[in-house]
Amino acid sequence: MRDLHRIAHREPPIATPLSFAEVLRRHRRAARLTLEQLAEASGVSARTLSDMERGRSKGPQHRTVTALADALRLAGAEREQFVGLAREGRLRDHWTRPTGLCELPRSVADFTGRTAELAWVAELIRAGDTGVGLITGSAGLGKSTLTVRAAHALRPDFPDGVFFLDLFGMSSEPLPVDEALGRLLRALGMADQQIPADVAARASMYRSVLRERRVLVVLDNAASEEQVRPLLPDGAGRALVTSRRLLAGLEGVRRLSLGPLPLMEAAELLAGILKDRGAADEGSAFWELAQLCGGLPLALRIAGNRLASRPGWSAADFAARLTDEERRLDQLSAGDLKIATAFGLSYDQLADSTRRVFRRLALVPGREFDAALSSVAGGTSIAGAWDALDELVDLGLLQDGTSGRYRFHDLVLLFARDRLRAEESEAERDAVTGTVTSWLLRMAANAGWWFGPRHGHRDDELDGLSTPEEADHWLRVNVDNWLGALRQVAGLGGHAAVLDFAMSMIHFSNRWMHAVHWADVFALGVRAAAALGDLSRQAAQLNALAGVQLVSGGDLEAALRFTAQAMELGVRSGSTEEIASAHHYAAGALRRLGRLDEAIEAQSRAAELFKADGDVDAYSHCLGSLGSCFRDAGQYARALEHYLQLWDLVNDDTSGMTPSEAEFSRPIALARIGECLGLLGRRPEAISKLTEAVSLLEQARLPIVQAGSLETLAGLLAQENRIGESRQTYARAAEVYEGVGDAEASGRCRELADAAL
Amino acid sequence: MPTIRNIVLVHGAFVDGSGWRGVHEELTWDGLRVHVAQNRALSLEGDAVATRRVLDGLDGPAVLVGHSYGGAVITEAGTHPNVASLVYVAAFAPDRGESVDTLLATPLPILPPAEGSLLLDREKFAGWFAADLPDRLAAFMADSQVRWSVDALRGPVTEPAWRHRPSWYLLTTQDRMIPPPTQRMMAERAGSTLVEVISSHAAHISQPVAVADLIRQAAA
Repeated sequence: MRDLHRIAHREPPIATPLSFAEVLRRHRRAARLTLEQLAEASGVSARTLSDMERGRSKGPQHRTVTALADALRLAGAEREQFVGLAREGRLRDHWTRPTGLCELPRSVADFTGRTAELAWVAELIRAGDTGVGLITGSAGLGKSTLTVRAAHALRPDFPDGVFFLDLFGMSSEPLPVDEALGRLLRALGMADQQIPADVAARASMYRSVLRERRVLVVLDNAASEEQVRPLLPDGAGRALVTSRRLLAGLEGVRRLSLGPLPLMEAAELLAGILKDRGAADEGSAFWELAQLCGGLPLALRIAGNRLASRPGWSAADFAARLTDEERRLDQLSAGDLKIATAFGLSYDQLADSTRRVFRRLALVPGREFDAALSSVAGGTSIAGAWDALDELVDLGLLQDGTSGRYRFHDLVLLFARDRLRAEESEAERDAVTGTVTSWLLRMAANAGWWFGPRHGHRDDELDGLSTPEEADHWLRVNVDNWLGALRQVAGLGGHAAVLDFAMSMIHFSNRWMHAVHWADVFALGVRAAAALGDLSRQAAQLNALAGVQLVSGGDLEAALRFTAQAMELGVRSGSTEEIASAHHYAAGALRRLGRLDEAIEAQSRAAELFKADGDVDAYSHCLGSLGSCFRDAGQYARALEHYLQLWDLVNDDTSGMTPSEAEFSRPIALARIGECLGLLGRRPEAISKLTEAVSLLEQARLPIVQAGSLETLAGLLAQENRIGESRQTYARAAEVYEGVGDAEASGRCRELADAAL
Repeated sequence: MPTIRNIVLVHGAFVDGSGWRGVHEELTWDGLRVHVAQNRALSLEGDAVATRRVLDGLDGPAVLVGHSYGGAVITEAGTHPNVASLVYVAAFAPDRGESVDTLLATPLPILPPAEGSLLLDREKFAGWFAADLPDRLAAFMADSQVRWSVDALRGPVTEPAWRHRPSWYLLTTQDRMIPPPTQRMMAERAGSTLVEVISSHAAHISQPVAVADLIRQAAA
């Protein structure tokens, strides 16, 4: 979003925003040109122009736009506005697509050939005996492009959706299975809080959610059998997988080996890319070029785009240059050679500054980057980065993903690394790495502090993030960037930077509990604090590490060891806050271990300390936890007492509690009050509280708590002989359980709904 | 990098070993040592002996690859100690006592035997054997056919190597010589890792990259 705002700010202020279509038409009329004349002057076909003027093509490619700007003799602010509007159109086109979780990418417009392959996929998916198709073959053959195309064509067969996930099989860190399941579950409508932490539970939730749905799951670029197996739907679902490997260990899979494009189709693809040039007399040169590219779509596309961007070159010139380039690169393997040749020729024609951005982007730790990060890596302004990215996308050297983010094809990344090593010294490379990693860590820390108490450490000038939602989004989409940066900096002994960063993540980690990397982050934080001799921050990191273990499936004994260390350091450094936190987390672990008396004692101590310290949010957490301990211990009256205190606190505007915290806790507190009243036999009161809680929980979208409350409520209604209401309530509980993938609880409630007849 | 350095390629009926050229180019580029066996196509036993002789001369384990009738040859010769794994490319994989003849489900456009050997009808060669090759190449192949003896066609396999070695199978989806269902049946009973490719019977010529990919994985 930020980037769109930035572009908007750059535009001269105008009363009503103009569309690219209007501006184009206006400039053409001002230049007194007909569509045909402008087509002639720019090399863009009249038909394409007409589509643009009617707003049919909202985001034309950058090189088309610059060709038009040249032909219209636009300069200065006018030219900038013209180019900017087109870019905004391209980005908006990404953003207006339906919300982006695991969404199938667009199919490429110039897709050519592969008829038999598409038919093979359609037949496999529709036939019904095997649910999984694997497209295999080496890099650059267009496995993903073909599969995405096929998935679009099959969309009508899958009323419950088509989902796409890149498994990053060729990167050094393929997507872990738990993370893959997490993303798919979120795309299937599960909220973060509903998704369990461990892999087995996620896999079982995934199977249970998919059992009744007819979906197609596209798993792109798979690394291994182990990575893919838990992601394959059974039942009515189908999957398409692409991989450079055969994944011979997968059962019940049909595999298709993708070959190069036949010469005819390769030449057609080139002709399609170059159609706007209207060069009909280059037929044989197209064939030669197609042959030089080895029928590899990636190479063909890059060669075609290069040619399209150089109206002065003929295909024959280009083929001759490719032959020379191939000789230069003959140490590469057969397939890779064709591709690197095409890359090299495109790269050599770029402006110095664009070349620098391109090769230095190979140093970005994660898989994707935006214009801001590109400008840091490339040592250029944001505007310069935008121009470079536009040109690189036009040439096919970068792929543009959703929302203004970009990435390399694996092979192009190798090429960029190769250029970087060849053209920049080790010292230069280290300097760029240092700049990129330190910027990423400062950005991430700044985003993280949005969620800390009183946002004390935020530097509002640094990142331009203006809401917690933007900060949350930035941290999530850039996770592999900042995590990679953190590891690099930690490896180089940058203790202060590591610790500052790890401190900023303590509160954000609660918003994104199930992300897999928190234990690593805080372990690095503990080490950095120890190296710096910073006792109170070491205690804080140990407490955070203990908190990570309390997420379901964690190691509770380890949590107790961490809190013991935190306690000791807290005492030595005189930090009440860390002592209180250590008690709080220790109590959480003790309660899970069934050591309730100790848990109550520790939690009470934490509550006192936080209250005395004026940390109302933390105090409220302690009250809720104490209620749970007493309820577990069968002391319902004491439990009720604590939940009521919590209720008073969240409803007291003057308490000093953070409003969002109060908002979150309110429906849960009410539900617990209702449950305790029920356990104390005060049924009519319990029913009234639970009824209110259920509707609040529905609004707050907390379905797991809601389902539990519904089930309790239904039981109470039955005891009060309100059979009809009880039956309805059980039925509703069954629905909500089903929605969160808890088949067992759903079945139980369904049975009770029927039994109550 | 593959752990097996040697690849032995065995061609099929009506053609010779020169059809492996594209596959050879791919694999030697990766530094693999590629050997092309030539069948005399007088008898299955004779061709198996020729392949075993190539295997005898190797310095280490090999992937043994057969196309079409070459599949019967590698099935018979592949119990050789130097064979680590088998790759079938649109190939016959007979079981004990079976021959290519017993596995042929549909009649092929073969001319009546002359002096105990067979040729494909040159008019039908392109359409049946090589529908996805350039016309001129298919025409040359039709005119340069190698005679195939009835003894090679009918030679039974004694101890099928696929019972003793891991195998991979490349199924050609547009094959008229060995119909895809027959290929699938043979691959499944051999427990092969099955991969399909959009190709005529002449996959070793029309899809050398896919063939080489499968061989590399069998060598890995």
